[in-house]
Amino acid sequence: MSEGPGYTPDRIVRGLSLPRRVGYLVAGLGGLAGASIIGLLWATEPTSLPVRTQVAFAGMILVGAAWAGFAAWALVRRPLFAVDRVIAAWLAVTFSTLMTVGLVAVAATRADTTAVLAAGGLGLILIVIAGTILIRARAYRSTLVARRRELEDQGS
Amino acid sequence: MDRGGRDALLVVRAQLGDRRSLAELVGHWHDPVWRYVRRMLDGNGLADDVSQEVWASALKALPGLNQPERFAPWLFTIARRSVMDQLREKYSQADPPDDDQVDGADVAAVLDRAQLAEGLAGLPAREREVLILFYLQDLALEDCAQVLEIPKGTVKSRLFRARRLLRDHLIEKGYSS
Repeated sequence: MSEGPGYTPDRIVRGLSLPRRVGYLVAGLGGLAGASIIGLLWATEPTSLPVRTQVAFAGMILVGAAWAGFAAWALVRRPLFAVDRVIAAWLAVTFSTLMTVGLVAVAATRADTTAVLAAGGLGLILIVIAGTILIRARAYRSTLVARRRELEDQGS
Repeated sequence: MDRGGRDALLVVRAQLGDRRSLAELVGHWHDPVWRYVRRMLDGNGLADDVSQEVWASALKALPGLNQPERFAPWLFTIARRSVMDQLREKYSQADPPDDDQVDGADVAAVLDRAQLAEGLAGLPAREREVLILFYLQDLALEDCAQVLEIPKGTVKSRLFRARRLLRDHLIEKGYSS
């Protein structure tokens, strides 16, 4: 038998680069936030929008949702290491905060107090979830750092 | 640092997100995994496909590996599952019984690595894999037991039967015992 794999180790780890994965995450969260805010703008319009505007809004929501779906699909197929988890959690905190500000601003200018409270409440829930993920990601990373130090001490 | 210690450190660094350590870890095990798959399945092309599937599964599951010092048996467990899936597709035959007794005197037979590699192709999959893991991948008995999901005693009996089959096979091919 001829011996040797027909591919290199580089090919195996290709596609796992940090910038690429952070790029997916930013695109996904950006798409989700954009689609949500446009959806809210549309839903809180006091009068019916012209057909062309409705088509444009629907198109933008679709594009945002597609980016979110694509990013989720791409990231689920790859491992999530400690640094990825921490970065992802920070991005989630940032985007959920921005989204909350956007939702509350839209609700405040276009709807009543109930809508503002509903938007703020929803945003707060998202921020709390993102914050919890961030705390857990940092704890996971700290555990691994301690384990690495222990192994390095054993090896030296 | 021994192999287990080296792997443990590389695994933890990779779990932290160090791509260089991940590449080094893959570099160490890239060839052994391919050779294991190649010897279990016929055809380099199939070995390439299956071993790449093995790596895809292993890398995806790597952040969840809690015992980094057990990386090698963990990796070969994943490889074995992929190989078994392939073999299951290829053959749909019942497994042979697994109740051989260990004969201590016969276990001492010494096999040359090259002879072993050559004779493996003629053995049934079950016997072939235990010889590959134990002799060619240098896994300990307890690691083989973990990969094969059988008790350590069964690994010994399977090794005994595999050596006997291999010896018979090599004698048939003209090697002296």
